[in-house]
Amino acid sequence: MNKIISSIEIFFLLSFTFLIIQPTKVFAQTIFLNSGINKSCYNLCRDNNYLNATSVGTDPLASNGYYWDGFGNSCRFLPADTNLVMYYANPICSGNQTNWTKCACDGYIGPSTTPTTIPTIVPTPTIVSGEQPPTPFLNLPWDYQSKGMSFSEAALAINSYFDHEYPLLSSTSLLEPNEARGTLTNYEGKFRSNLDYSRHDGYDYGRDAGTKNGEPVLAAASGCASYSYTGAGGNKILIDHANGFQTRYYHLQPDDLVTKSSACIQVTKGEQIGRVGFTGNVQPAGESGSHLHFMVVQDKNGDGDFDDNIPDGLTDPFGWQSTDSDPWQSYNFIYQGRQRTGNKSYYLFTKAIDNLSQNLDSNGGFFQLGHYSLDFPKDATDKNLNLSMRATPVVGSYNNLESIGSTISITAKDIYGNLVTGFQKAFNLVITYDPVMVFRFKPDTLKIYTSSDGASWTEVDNTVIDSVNYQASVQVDHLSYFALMAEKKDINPPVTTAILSGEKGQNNWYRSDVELKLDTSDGEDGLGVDYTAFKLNDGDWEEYKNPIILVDEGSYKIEFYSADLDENIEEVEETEFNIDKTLPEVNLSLNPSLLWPPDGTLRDVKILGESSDNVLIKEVVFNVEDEYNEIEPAIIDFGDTVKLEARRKGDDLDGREYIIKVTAFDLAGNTSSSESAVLVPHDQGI
Amino acid sequence: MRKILILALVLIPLILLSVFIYNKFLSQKYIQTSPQNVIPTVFNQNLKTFKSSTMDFTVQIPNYYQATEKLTYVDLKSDNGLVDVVRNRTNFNSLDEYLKDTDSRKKLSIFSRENLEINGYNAESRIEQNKDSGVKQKVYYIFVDGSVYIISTKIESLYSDLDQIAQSFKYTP
Repeated sequence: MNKIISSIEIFFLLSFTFLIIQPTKVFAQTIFLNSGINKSCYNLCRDNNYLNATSVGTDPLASNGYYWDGFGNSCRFLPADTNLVMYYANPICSGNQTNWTKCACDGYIGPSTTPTTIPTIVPTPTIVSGEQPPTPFLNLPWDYQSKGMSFSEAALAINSYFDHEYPLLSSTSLLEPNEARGTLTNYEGKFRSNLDYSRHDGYDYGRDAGTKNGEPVLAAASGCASYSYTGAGGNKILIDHANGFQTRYYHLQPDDLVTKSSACIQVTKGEQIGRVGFTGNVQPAGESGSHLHFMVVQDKNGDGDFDDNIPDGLTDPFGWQSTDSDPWQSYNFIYQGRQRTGNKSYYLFTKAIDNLSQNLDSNGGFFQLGHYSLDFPKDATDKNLNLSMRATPVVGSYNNLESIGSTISITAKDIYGNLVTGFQKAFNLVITYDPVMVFRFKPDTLKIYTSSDGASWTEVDNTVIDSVNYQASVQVDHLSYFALMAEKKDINPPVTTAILSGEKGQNNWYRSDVELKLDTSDGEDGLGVDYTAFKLNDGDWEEYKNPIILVDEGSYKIEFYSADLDENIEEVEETEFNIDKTLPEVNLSLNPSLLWPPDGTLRDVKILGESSDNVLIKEVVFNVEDEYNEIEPAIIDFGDTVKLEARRKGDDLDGREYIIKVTAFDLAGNTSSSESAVLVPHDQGI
Repeated sequence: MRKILILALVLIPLILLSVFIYNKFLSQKYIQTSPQNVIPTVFNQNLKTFKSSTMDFTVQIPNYYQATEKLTYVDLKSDNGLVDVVRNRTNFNSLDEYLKDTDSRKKLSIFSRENLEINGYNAESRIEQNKDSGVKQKVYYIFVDGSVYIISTKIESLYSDLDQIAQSFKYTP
């Protein structure tokens, strides 16, 4: 691909070097091109100031004199009106184009240059950019600002558009082909649309634009204004701007015209030249149809007469804002005995319309995506570029910085698809921010950053912060990733504490219902807690709002965390505890429970019984109480055997009693007790 | 011969009567109906909301449609074709005035026509064919405060999608 490009570049340069030393209007010279990228033969020749183009295609359908045309929803192949049209692309044809392998340009109409020296051909790798666009010079011809409208709003408040297919309204003898009748192709390339209205050759501004009856009409640029009248256009003012362009203003009221003479008088930009009216043909008829028909004509043949360049000099001041080929630019026709071609339109207003185009050329442009806008001045580039803006992810954390909203990636490619990152002049990058979002950040750290990869960021020098309009701006001369970033005020996550209330048992056991309260603090410098979330055992995460009462017995695992208003998120914490409100069960019996005869011997007594718990018995404690406090044998567990003395005092008429008590403890600390007695009676009769 | 004559006497009036009835009642170019209130289609999970930031309207479009928005038009595309939306600002005070004017500048065959009210706005749906180009389309014209939104498709299989989209139209400045 690079080889092809190089050969083309060199070829063009050779051709141009040769051409510019030729006297003006040398029609005999012909150049032959063998290849081109994304351009028709016709457009290549036109771009290089050749009037005529002839191509030879290898595709049988692409042979000279045919072109693709949309018909309904299908694409058909038609003979061209002349043998000059080599290329025709439209949306319905899905970009079909006449391929060509050889292109001949002749009829050089470039600038006049008288040779002073013998030409020396010195190839250089400079890309020849072709025709330079005219300098924008127009304002809207009414005081839209007094209506509270921005330039973009007013410019786009269009009743009727310029028809880029056949803007033949002023040339009544020229008819559009059947397939285009009743349709309009506007500057955005909406092909044969339902927009109003077919053949229209200017812009109508009516009620929505604020151009009602009597509204002052202002000169769109300085120049020499003259008057004329036609039945269709009514009272008309025509201003020659001495730059090859004339603006026209139709349907004006008969009063307050700046002149009523065909001899022109000088007017300055913004000067009132008349009032919006309804003379000529307006719809609806009468005052309610009052509107301004505004149109631009180029003196293509440079003879000072604009009338003889209607319709071929008719120009859309919005330019052609589509990647498809402009049908008007390549339309060839014969009118009043002369072979003509439609005109190439350029954006001619001095103020930008938001997102009018993705094309960036030496005239500069204004582009906007979300809260980012780019304003390229004139001559920021000398190339024809296609600009692409793409929203890229938020930078969550980068060296204590965070992006305010999404970031952006901006790229531009030239006509060969090469990336262009540098510019001859700096452009203005403006990032509008949300004051609510910026509240989270340290104001003095608010800066625009750039990145070549969207990962590593460096600060762009001299960010200007407009805290009244909430805008950050910077002058930059390159394209890359951009972001508005700042340090957060609050970088610490909140701290959440779980507070458990209930009858505390052993360790992490509770013997009652438990109230769970999550207490969160964001610290003194924090912006406040946004939310607290918790998860109970294997449940889902829920937002914590009020204390929770846990009543069921069992084991609990509570996980929780909080986030603050600055999106600092706490690590997940957890607490575990158990609830056991059920007492253990225990029963005790002794065998034997009567020791006889009281002969002073030690007798075995078996400790019988059991303990149980809904969870687990932690401990069983036995205690032996001897009425005489003489024996205190140890009992470890049920099933043990203890030795008790079978003796009692002679005067102890109710006998000696051993009381054995057992207490069972569960894990929560719940206890239950049981006791039983062994008696050494005074006499056997007891 | 006599039988043939009798048969002819019976058949000829019948044929003439049929032709008369056809011309009088069945061959109308379009059916004019009185305005109907269109109840917006019930939104369901197969639809998504598209809000135009440049043309001040919102519609519900099937999930499988993609919207492309420009300053002057919106293309709603599916694999089956295109439904597009444009807005014509006008100085007219009613949809009838507008249509009368625009129809006068086009050669149209109108196969069906229905006056509607869509979310409070006067509207008309049509199936029309441009006699010059042969292009046939179904179109909704919706009149909002001097502007006419035109929602249309040239693909017959998309007519039902168009109905759904157009009838969900809301003006959202």
